[in-house]
Amino acid sequence: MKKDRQEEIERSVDAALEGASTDGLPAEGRQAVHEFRRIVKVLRMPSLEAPESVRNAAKSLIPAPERRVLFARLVSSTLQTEGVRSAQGSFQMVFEAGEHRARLLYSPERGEWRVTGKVDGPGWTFERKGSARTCDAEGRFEFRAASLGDSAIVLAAGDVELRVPSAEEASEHEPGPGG
Amino acid sequence: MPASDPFGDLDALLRRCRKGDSRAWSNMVDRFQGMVYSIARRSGLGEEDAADVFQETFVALHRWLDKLESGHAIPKWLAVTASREAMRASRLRKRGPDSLEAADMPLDELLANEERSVEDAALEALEAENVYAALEKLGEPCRSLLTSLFAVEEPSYKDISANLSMPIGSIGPMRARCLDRLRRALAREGVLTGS
Repeated sequence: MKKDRQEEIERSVDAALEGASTDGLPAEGRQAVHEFRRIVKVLRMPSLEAPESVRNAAKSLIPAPERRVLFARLVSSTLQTEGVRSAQGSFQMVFEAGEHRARLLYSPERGEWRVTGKVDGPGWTFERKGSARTCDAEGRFEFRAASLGDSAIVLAAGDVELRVPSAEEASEHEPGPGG
Repeated sequence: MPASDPFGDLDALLRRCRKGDSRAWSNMVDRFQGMVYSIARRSGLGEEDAADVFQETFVALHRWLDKLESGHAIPKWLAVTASREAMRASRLRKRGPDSLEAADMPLDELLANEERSVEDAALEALEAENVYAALEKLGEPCRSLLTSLFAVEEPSYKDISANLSMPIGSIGPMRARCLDRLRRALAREGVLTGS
């Protein structure tokens, strides 16, 4: 940003914050000061969040349907000998529950893990940390996890809920046949 | 291909709510809970009355889902409805010398004043909602800097420098740049027009 422009903006911000008169300023300058004042007024308002119980009461107006919960088990992993705790590079895990299957690829990236996954078919959402996102038409999804112990997700479609454990929890159990 | 977020678009969110999608409805409540609750509390209501206003507002929205023109109408509709409910709750609380019936003003004038107050409160809440949304989109370091600078306790530049790992001398110029970026972002969206 050019020096003159930067100084002009700083003067306008100072005028807005100090409540200085805008007399003598050009129209554009007066407008800028006025707009800065409106913005700062909002920023100074304490941010109020509704208590969780209040939010939940409103949410119950359209209640979530009952879901059949399935716990996915690890059936194969490319980490068979080294284990999750010493994993350095990418690895894949395959989970199954009932007739459903999910493949997850864990890739280290900038100190955390990028997890890309695919569940069978369209119509799935995946939930993590209280928020839900829709998988694409082929059942693919992606998220980031701070650690492999923090990579658990819930996949849901219709009345089915598939709980996929974290890679760390899954690796504590031997993979089943086909691993 | 990464997963898509279906709730970024208010029209899509409204469509899903109309179909009875509980996740979409939950997202709707989460998205506007701050604005609705703030309107109730800033009108002077205590926690219990504010909770009632909150519930009444979302009950009304649930009832009106099929009648709303589009998803884009939702923020203003919610702001006005919450303001009206808050005004009604305040009036009920003030039965007595300050009540509508006892005031020394013609009823139509009282009602007109009340409607103006509702409109003003709604517009203020909408402006705040737009500023917070634009601030979120600004990203770092502006989001953290502006949030810290104008927090209720207004920390010193020294504290901000320590918390944000920013040289003290750069805070003033950065403050101005971030506020200007925020102002221009709001102007592009048509917020902040008029005095």
